[in-house]
Amino acid sequence: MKTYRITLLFAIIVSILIIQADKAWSETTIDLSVKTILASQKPGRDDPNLKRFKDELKDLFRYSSYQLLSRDNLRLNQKNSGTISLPGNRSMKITSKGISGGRVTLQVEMFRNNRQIFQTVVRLLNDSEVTVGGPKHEDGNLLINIFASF
Amino acid sequence: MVSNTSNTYGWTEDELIERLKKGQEEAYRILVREYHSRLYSLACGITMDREESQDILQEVFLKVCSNIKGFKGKSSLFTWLRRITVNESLNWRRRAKRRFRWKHQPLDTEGTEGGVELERQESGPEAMYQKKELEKSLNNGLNLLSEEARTIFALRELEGLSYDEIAAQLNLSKGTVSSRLFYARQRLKEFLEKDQGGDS
Amino acid sequence: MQENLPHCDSELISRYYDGELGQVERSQVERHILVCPSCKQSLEDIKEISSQYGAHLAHQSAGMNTQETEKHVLKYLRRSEAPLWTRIKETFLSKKILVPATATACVALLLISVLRTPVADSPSAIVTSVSGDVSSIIILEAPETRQTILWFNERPEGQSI
Repeated sequence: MKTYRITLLFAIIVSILIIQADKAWSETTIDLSVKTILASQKPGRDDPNLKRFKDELKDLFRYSSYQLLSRDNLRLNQKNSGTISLPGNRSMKITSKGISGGRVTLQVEMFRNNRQIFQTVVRLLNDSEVTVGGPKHEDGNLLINIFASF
Repeated sequence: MVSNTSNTYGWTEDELIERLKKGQEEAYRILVREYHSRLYSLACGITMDREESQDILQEVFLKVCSNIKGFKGKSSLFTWLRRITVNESLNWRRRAKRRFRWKHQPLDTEGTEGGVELERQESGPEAMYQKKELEKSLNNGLNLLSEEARTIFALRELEGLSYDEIAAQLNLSKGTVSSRLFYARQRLKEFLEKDQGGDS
Repeated sequence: MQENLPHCDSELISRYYDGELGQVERSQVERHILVCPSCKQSLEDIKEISSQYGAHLAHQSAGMNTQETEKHVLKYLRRSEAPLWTRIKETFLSKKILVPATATACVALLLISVLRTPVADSPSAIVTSVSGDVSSIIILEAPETRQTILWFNERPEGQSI
């Protein structure tokens, strides 16, 4: 009987510790790497660094070249946000809403002329990415690739 | 109230207690040899299980090891041992230790060691057979009594404790002790009579 | 003072056998037994059970192992005399600790895997909400990497630079 009681006690204590650790983990910082990419049909603008990206999307899009316009790094804590400016009087605001179940919840808002035109809330896996795209720019479209690590 | 009679090895009880407190191995050897048998019978009387009783006895002596330093000598050493034995025997079932045991070795009139039942001795004399039969039914009768009744019976029959002493040990009233004893004897008598059938 | 017992009382006989009666009652019972065969029989029965019981339990001593107990006790004694670190080491390796520790480790692993590992082979981002003042929204997934892609078409307004 004593053995069972000890086991139960251990199990409860450890479970509490783990749950606490998991909660604490959600307060860790989230490192975001945001790439602003111009995808277009104009040849000769391919960025070799974006080769993987291009390959990934080759079945979905028909762009012939992907050009890295800018790269921003954001570091977010729980519940704060970062904004990056995008071409065409646009900006993107990313807000962290916490981590749970191995995914970080991000609210991504796109503004143009200071007006919100798009928003989404996504739950992103660790060390993985999501791409928001569409806005027209120059002769192509902007793709904003968000890579999160936490 | 400590007895000063010498035990087998020439030590008085006081001397023995002192050496036990010091942790002297020889003293513990003597303690075990001296009291094991009597306490084992008591444990058997309560639990009706040989293997359990063996385990209980081990636990009893371990308890002596750990608690001897606090033994104040208000009762005799044996009285203390007996009390521990009774408590351990009554509490044993409540602990899950039995769960981990493979074989249950209930008391029976044959088979002495291990889990293997020895072959019944072939056609002994009539008397021997009858005796064994008698013991078997006594065994069955005892098994049907409650653990409390068995404890009271054992303390009375094996240890010769008075009703008052039994009542004090088990936290019962004297009247309860008396009636339980009486009832136990009635039950055992009925059981023996029933099993013997038309025998003399 | 009453010389004789008013009636047969088996429990009284039982108490008499155990020596629990006062002098007066004792004499009464002794006198009663001489003339009452059934009470006399009760007493004989009790004596018989006593002797059977004694013999029975003496027989059980065959299952007793004094040497084993002795060994066990001495081992315990020696262990508690051992230096502290040996005792600590032995405590941690004892079944009492190992079993709960292993069980807890299993529970812990289970809990960790539940909390930590998301479903394998799932999309990179799970979209829980999406809205916009846009003409259309498409959610795509890259076939091999399962990267989530959100695509929208802006309303035609303003000028592109």
